[in-house]
Amino acid sequence: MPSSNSLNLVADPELSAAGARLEDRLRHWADDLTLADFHQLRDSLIERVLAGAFQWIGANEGTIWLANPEGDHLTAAHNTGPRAGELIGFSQPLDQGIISLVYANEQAYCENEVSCRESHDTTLDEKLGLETIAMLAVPFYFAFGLRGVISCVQLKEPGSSETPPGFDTRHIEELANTATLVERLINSRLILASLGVDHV
Amino acid sequence: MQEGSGTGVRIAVIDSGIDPSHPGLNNLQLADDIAVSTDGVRLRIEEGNGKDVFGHGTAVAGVIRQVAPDAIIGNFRALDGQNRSRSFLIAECVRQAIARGYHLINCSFGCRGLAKYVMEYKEWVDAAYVAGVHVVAAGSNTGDSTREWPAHFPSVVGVGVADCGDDEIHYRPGRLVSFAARGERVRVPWIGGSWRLETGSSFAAPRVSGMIARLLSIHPGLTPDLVKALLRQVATVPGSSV
Repeated sequence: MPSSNSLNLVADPELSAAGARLEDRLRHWADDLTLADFHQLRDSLIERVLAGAFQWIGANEGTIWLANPEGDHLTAAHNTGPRAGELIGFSQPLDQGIISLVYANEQAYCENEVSCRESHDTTLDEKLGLETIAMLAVPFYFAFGLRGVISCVQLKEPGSSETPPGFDTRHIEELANTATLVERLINSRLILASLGVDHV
Repeated sequence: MQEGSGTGVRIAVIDSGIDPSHPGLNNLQLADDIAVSTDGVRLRIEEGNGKDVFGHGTAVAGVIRQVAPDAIIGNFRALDGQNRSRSFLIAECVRQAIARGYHLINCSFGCRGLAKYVMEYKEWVDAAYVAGVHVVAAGSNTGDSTREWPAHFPSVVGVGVADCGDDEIHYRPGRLVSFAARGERVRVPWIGGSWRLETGSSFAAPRVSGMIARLLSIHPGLTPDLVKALLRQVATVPGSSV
């Protein structure tokens, strides 16, 4: 018997049988995902969802980090800040930093005194000429797997006396829910494309 | 629970490792210090050598130490060659912890609760339950609609973040992640002798692990069922006037 679900929509047994094939297909496709592929995937709706969430959270900017096919680096694939051109393509080894930690244990993470610690990796700050004060990061899934991390930051301009307020649990929840929404949007596009009905 | 300090209670921390030399851990002597990893073919079980690759496990141990200063802590590092955790590495850590006589396993991590992962997690969650070993796990930050293993198994003490005092525990009836403790802006020890101000369920879960250790140090032998029932009795229900 086909299983029912909370939508009161009974699963079609023939389509259910194809579900595993669809999952395999998308997983293999995403395993070799390039930045160019991701840019094709990221449409204006996804960008608006992300920008709205970062604004509500009070972040200066946000970034999508994708794991490379070898699984040893996270690369910035999307950024909402004014220096996105410099940041996109920046890679960080998967054995250091907050975003690597989030990728490792699949738990959202928030730190409000980033710049105070001596061990803070300042490579990115130096590259952007800013000081990271607070960082929030959540795991990012799509195509039936963990694909990377979505992070956002509160920054301080050099010499500025204003310190950002930091993030709290409401902001973690918002970013985690946003990541889930983006996942659904991406999966929807991928599934429709796989079925050959992406014009829907 | 208020009278106990965790004496004699063995807590396994499955995480990124523990640096016992951090001053915030007050001369912690690890009962076990192992690292379970893989080269892609075989499991490797090696000495942990007091190494924490991120700092997260040291932070978790720091919270436990604060709540239950006399509890015995063992480190079970569960990361692969890229410092990424895998279900089978976690399962091996749990097997090791049960075999070594630990009473409680702290899991400040989560795996997305997809159906295909159920058995990988259920097998060791059930093994712990049958062995009378308490499992405390951090819940997802996305609310009740998102399942996460192991926090969403009923025999596990799932813990979310509450805005409350250090010694408080909240009970949320009708949820699988039914407990919550302080996990917001918690000052925790980190690698390199540093300290951080962290927020997340990762730091709420070890607080509840510490509370259970205090309880077990006064009433050893309590089963996971009984401990959950007792926690519900002492917890505050948010919004309740009682």
